[in-house]
Amino acid sequence: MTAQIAERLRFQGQDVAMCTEPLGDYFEMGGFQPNFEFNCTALWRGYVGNWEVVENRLYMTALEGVLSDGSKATITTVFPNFPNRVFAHWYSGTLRAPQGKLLKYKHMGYGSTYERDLLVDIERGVVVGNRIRQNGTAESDDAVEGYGIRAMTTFARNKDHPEDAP
Amino acid sequence: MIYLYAYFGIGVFTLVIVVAADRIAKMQPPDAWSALWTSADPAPETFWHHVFEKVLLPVLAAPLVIVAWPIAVYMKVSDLLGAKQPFKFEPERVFAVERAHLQERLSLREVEHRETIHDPLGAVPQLPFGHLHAAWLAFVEQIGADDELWSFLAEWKSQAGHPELRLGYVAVRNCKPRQHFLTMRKSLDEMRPV
Repeated sequence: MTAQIAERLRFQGQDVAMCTEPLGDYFEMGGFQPNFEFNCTALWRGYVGNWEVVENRLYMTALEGVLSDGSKATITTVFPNFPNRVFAHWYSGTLRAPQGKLLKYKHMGYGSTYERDLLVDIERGVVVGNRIRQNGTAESDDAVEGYGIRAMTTFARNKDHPEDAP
Repeated sequence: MIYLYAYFGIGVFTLVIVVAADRIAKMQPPDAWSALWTSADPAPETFWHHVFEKVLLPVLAAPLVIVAWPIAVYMKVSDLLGAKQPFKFEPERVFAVERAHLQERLSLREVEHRETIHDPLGAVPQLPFGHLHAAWLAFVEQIGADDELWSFLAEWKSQAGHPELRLGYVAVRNCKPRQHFLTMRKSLDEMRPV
């Protein structure tokens, strides 16, 4: 499995890449799941979500994706009456935002290791704590800074025969 | 000393069997996988490649078989036994609530009152289970008139071995938990102290 494009999180005024998918839990718990189109090996879930912690609460603020019929998916595709933000009350777990230089790249899921992980503990959408986990120090000053992926394969949509699209 | 001769004698006999089996196997037409593998083999068919494969390798391998024939016999027997036991596909474990997980019996009204979500920014419907209200209604439709509604708490390990805490509500009929509705699914993997 290819390394995956991260979600985006705004936490304490900083925008970070987040290697956790809270919306996945929503779908697992019975929430409406649109038929996202898979067109890139680095985005198996078919969407990218923007998240924000406001007053110690986790909100989804945007969603970008493409549906199987080729139309664009937005936050209102999943949450029709909430175009601006959605309180993620269904989510309990730990958000992970890698920070610092790359220590070890793994071309699989969110498997790469960085110098630090910002961990934000959430219970039913409410932040109950946050911490930094130290994973080590990069040997080289030239090591890549910040989360990223190295390669992916994209699939073009078949405009003539959209029913054949993956 | 005679035992040593006997040991090496069996080793030579084993070598003969191994060579014969190899010759017989090469006389069989290759299966699709072997043919594909051979055609994809990047090693060029050079003189030295032939020398290595046809001369050097057998010369080096023969004494090894004579000396370590018990290992060769063990490997062959294991191989034969393994071939008779086809690979068993384990079905994926599905989570189900058990009696030991039950916490508290509640009425539908109590549950819905308890689970109505409030948010200062108004980013959730003022309904039981908020954004999961439709899923809750679907669950309620399945509850029989005589079923009891219980809260549950369970520790669960996924197929991949990741521990999780699962909470929610379950319909119980004749003391047997049936369909459930999850309210919390929390991975315990990340809950490690710094």
